[in-house]
This record gives sequence, C-alpha cells and structure tokens, in this order.
Amino acid sequence: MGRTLPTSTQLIREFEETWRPYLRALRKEDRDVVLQLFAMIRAQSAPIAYTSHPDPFQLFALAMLGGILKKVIHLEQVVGTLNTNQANWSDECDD
Amino acid sequence: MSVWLIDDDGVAHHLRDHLRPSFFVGGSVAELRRVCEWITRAHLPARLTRAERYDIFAHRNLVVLQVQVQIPGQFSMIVQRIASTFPALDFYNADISIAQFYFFEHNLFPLAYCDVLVDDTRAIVEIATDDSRWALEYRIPPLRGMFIQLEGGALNPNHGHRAPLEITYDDRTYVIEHHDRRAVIERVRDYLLRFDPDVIVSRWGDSFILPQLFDEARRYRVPLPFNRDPQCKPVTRPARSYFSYGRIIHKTMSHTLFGRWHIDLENSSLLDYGLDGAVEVARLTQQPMQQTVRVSTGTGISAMQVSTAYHKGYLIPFHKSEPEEFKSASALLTSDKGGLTYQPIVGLHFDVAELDFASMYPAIMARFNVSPETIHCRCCPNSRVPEIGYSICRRERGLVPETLAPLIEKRLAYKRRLKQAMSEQQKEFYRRRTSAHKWLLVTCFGYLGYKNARFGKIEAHEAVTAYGREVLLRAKDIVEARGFRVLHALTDSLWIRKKGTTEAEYERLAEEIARATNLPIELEGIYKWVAFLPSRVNPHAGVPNRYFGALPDGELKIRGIEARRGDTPEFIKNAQLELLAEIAQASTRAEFAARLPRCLEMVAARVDALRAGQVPLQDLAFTYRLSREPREYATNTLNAIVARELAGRGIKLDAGESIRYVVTDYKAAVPSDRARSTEFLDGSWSYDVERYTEIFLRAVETILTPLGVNVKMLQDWLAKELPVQPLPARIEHTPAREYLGPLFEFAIHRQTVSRIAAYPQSPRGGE
Repeated sequence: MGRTLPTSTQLIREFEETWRPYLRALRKEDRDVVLQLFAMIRAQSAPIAYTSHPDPFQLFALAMLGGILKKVIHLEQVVGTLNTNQANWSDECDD
Repeated sequence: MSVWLIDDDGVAHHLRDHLRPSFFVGGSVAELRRVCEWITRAHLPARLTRAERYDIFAHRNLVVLQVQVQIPGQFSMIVQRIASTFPALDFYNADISIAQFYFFEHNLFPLAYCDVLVDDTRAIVEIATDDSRWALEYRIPPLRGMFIQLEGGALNPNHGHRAPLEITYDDRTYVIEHHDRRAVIERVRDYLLRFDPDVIVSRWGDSFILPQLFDEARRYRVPLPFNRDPQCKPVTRPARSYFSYGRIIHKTMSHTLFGRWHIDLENSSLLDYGLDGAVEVARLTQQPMQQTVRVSTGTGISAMQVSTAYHKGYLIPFHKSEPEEFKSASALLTSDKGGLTYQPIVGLHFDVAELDFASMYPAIMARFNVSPETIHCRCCPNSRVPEIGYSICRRERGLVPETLAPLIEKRLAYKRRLKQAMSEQQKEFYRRRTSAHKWLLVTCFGYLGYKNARFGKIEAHEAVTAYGREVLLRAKDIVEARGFRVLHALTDSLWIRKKGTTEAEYERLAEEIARATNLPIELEGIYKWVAFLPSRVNPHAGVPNRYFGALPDGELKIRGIEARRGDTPEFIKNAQLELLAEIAQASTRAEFAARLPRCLEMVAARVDALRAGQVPLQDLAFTYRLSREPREYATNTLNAIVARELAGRGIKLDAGESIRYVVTDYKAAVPSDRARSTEFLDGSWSYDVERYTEIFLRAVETILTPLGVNVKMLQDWLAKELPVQPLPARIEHTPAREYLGPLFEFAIHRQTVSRIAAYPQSPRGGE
C-alpha cells in the first residue's frame, strides 16, 4: 500500500532540505541555532501529522515559536529559583 | 490425488483420495452461456452448474457458473484456458492450490493428527482430525531429517564458493570429496535410499545443490530419488525479483518435493521464528510446509482469509483490483495518515515504563469490525470511524475480524504462557510461536490497504490508522492527567515516567487505559534506564525507534542501532553487544560513569585486535542487498565494485540478491582493490585497518553517547593509550551456532564427521 500524501516526517525533511544551502553558508554557531529550530519542529511531528493542515509551514512556525517559548519559560523558572535563593541568602545574612 | 501420512512409528504412507475442486465464473447470463458452450466444445474434464454465491464487495448473492474440475491436477490449466479465452469475466476461487482445497474440504491442515480409514487399494475412505489449528499444545509427528550443504555452508556457491558436499543424518556428517561426479551422485542416491528422510533441510539447496545434482544425475543416467513419489518430478520454480514495500526482493529458484519436504534455509522467510515457528504458520494458514517457508507471511494471512471465506461460502476474488474511492482534497488530508509518532526526548532516562497495545492494528480490526465489506456501511449510518467519519457496520461480523480474532486470542494465550515459563527452552519455544503470530498479524494490516489483495480496501486501512491515532491520543491524555511525562510514543507504544511509581501502579494505569480505549494494553517493562539516541544529521533532534534500554534483570531491548542491522559485520555487532552488556549492569548515573573505564578497556582490546590483523575476515564482512543489476550501477560505491567484480567472474547477479564483502583498501586508486567478495578472499588479502577502526569507533559512539563520549574523544584517548603495533596473526572464523528448534536439531547437531572420498571404485559402507 502506498501513501498518496507525504507524511509529516517527510514534509519536515523536505522543509529542512530546502534550507540546506542556507545552513551551509552559516557560521558554525549560527548553524547550530538553526538546527535547534529544526529539532523543535521534529519534536512536534505527531501534532503536525494529526492536524492535517493544508499549509504545514504554519505549523512549523508554531512549533518553532513553541520551542523557543518553552526555553524562555524554563529560563524564567531557573532565574526565579536563583532569585529566591539569593533573597533567602540575603535574609539569612541580614539576620 | 496423493496424500502422504506419517504414523506414530514414523512410517510414511502414500495414500490416494478423491477431490473435485470448483471455481466460479461471474458475468451476464449470455456470457456465462458462451463459457458453458466453449467448455463443452473444448472437452475439458469439468462439470458445469448454475450457482449462487455471496460477493462481499457487492454485498449480495451473485449468480455464477460453477466449474467443478474432475481431475485436480488439471485445475490450474483449466482456469488459465478459460480465463485467457474470456478475460473480461470475473473469476472466483480460481487460484486456491489443490492442497488448500483438500485441507478446506476436510477441515485439515499440515501436521494435523488424523484418524484415517483406508481400503485395500490404499484409497482413503474417511479422514478426520480431533486436532485444531487453535490448539495451544500439540504433538509434532516424528520426522526423520537430513541436512545437506557444501562445506563452509554460509558461503554462497552461486557466488563462486566450491567445496565438498556434506550430508548429515543420524548425528553423523558425511563429507563427500568430489573427485568423481558420478560417484558423488551415487553416494547421494545411496544416502537417500538408506535413510529415507521425511525432511531435507539444506543451505543453497534450491539455487545450487539440487539443480547441480539433478543435472549430473541426468548426465550420468543415475536415478536420484529426492522425491519419495517416483511418479512425480520435483516442482521447480524459476528465480525472480520483485518490489515489496519499497525494497527489491530476490527469490532464487526453488525445488519442492513430493512425499517429503525440502527446506532451503537460504531461501526461506523464517524471520525470527525459525522452523518451529514455520510449523505453527503452516498449521494456522493451511498451506503446505514447503510453500509456507518460501512465501511471505502476507501470503499466509491471505490464505487464512481465504479459508474463512471458503467456509462461509463467499466468492474469493481472483486478480482483484479495488481502486481507492474518490474523495475531496481535505478528506484526503484527513484520512491519508499513518500512526502517530512523538519524537523521543533525547538522552538517558531512568525508571521508564513502556506500555504497549497488544497487536494494536489487528486488535482494532477485530474490536471495531474493520473489514473491506464493513466500511461505508449503509445499514449503520450512525456508527462512525473517529476523525475521518466513515460509517462502519455494527450488525454483520466482517471477514477480516473473524479471521483475526482467534489468532489474537492464541497469541495472547501464548504470551501468558511465556510469562509463566520456567526454563529457557520453554521460553524460546513460546517466543517463536508468538513471533510467528506477530508477523502474521503485522502483515494483515498492510494487506488490508493493498488494492490488489483479495480482501484489501484502502478505506478500511485508513479506518484502522484513524482508530489507532484516537486510541494513542486517549492513552496520552490519561497518562498525562495522572502526572506522567511522555518521553516517546510510537503508533502503539508509550514510554512514560513519573518518579517513584511502582509496578502495581503502572499495571493499574494500563488497566485504566484498556478500559477507556477498549483495547488490551500491557506493561512491557519498567526499564532501569533507556537511552534515546540523537539523529546523526541533527544532534538536537531525537529519532524514533533508535534506542536501547536495560530491564532490572539486565535484559536489554535494542532498536535501530548497528547491532540490529542485518548488514553490519559480526565484529561490530559483537562489540556493541559486549559494551551494552557492561552498561546494562548500571542502575544510576553514577554507576554508569563507574563502568566507563571498563568500556574503554574493551574498546582498546578490540582496536588492538583490529590493528594486529587478528580479526577473521568473515567477521568483518558487510552484507548488502543489490538494488539493481551490477551493470546498472553508475558510481563506484563498494557495493557496486563488488557486484561488478562478481559479474566479471561470470556470476549472474539479480537485483535483490545479497552480496558479502570485506573492505580491503578503502582509499585504493584502483576501485577493484577497495573491497573484495568474501567468496574470493584468499590468504593474500587483508582488511583495511584504518577504515574498520573508523567504523568501529562510530559504533562505539552510538553506545557511549549517553555518557557524553564521541568519536573524537575516543580517537584522542586511543592515540595516547594505544600506540600502533601491528602483529599480523590471523585467527580462524568460528560461525555462530544457529538454533533451529528441537524439531530441526538434526540440521546442526554433529557428533561424528566422516570424510569420504568419492572415487569410481570406492568401496561402500566402509565409513
């Protein structure tokens, strides 16, 4: 049995493939950043497949934004924890 | 027709029985009348009657012409003649084999224990069995086995390997030196007559040994009784290559026998269940054993569906083509999807549970009544497939679910027994049975979506995947609602974790999911740790189905790495398994780190052996399946070079055939020096140490990635620890012992080896 439409994994791979010359021309540190963005899309291949959106790029963009936001939230939590620890430490010093 | 039976004492009986197989022709009344007239004029041995039979695709009875063939041996010929004369008509039940007709008519199957009443002329008066295809425990008749191969069995004689013939029976192996070909033939004849085996297992028997022996037997006019039935000649089928699931497959020519079996291990689709599992497949699918081992499990599941249809009196389509129905672009976008895959979260995870839906797609077909004739049901408009909205019948049980339900039950019963099994032998026995079932069930899903399959319909296939997605999402919702993190999910499996969860809690979670989804789900295991590996292209991204993990008892589950691939050299495979066995003992991150020095010692020892030239060439052989014929390769890949080398030596290679080679000098200017076929490696060739070290370190990286080790680190470390000291000393290759199951132990068990020089005047019986 052959599928008529490409799978979400194939769509993501094709999307990555179109950016190959761009990746090649990037500096190493910038290339790594783009690869991280691509990984954010791959991480959502299941929801992308399930949505069956006629324009998959909208989902890819959402996946990248979601991935970045996840990192921001994580950093906020880390910073929040550090701030709390520092405040506690200052309180202890004041005592 | 001939029927062969073996009694309790192991004595074979050649009996006769009557069979009048029928096929059906469908068309207008005028067309069917023309067929009748034509058959009568052609004087074909067939009785013609008007019949009514149910067509599951038309959902009604059809008026058809029943053609009852009076001589079973002429069944295929008569079908061919009528079908080629009236190609526009529909034919049913027309490609069922005579053996299957016989099994269907008498409710029998291969290796069934039967009660038989025979008259004085050895004709069967009555035959019946108490045995059942669905029996969990059954007796296998006592079979006498003989094993035939050329010395150095694994090497392919079609690719140039030449060696004396080895014949094994009664725990003795006889090696026949080939000084005189006529004497060799006479020897083989003597062994066949003396031992009279029920089953001949061979290596390269289909494509090389039997055709060679038959040719020479004809040349020297020596009768060679491979067939027990002297009236029949062995059935020969030519070699062929074909595409299946995007891969090109090559089937060598085959030789099947009458009155005994011939099974060529190199031309058998035994997958991971071996000959013991093949016995189970033959019983379930009611296909003769010689056919069972040579066809795919897809043909097996198709045969089971044919059996169900035959017993229900349905018309069985011949050369069916059920095209996909028209649908809108948005409907296609929604329905043309497979299972859901949640990419794994890359890294080393501790205390991970794996939950698997047992045979998910077949279970969906059975539970939700998915079958080609139940989709787009008019009598049940309110019963809808989730997401895609097709109506599905709730009143009539479909043909596919009816076929699958007992198979799923049997598999579950064996799985329960596997869990309770005490000895390793018992476990292996049940593992093989469940594996045989697994392959039958896996292929039934593919066949449902194949328009040319007898009972295939793409919309039914789409319904199965739609149910599958719904079920996995429901399971995910439950798991997340209970506070678990989904690390990875793949179509029918979930890898989840929540710190401190006990086995009992996981079991309760599985029960809750089973209740919510109406499908059985099992706790496959709670891993001490699982390593989900990154993609080689993008190290930030995970790759589904590329992982390894250790269970509490140290047992490993490995997927998608080099050690699992069929083309990886033994040396690399063994190295990975050795490293995995070492880290499998770790339970915490600290214990992992503590094992690293020992792992590095193992790596150093293997690199040392590589550099010293101590690794046997056979252990370094890559296996490659040719995707085209040698002359069609445009570039100088190693595969192409070796294929051309073999073709240059006059060896005919077809697409789909496998070649084995060793890399001799990867960077050599002359392409033919870069790699060498294993069949043409002599003492003058050695392997490319640098290339194999590179490949080996990459395989080590796969295993040690979770510890943060990469190839560059390994190279730097080796440069300090291991100065290059080549010590050329070759050690002999010892082939791994192959387990074929207790029934077929004769094929490998050797107590005595006798070398026999076959000279024209050699005395007989002196060995």
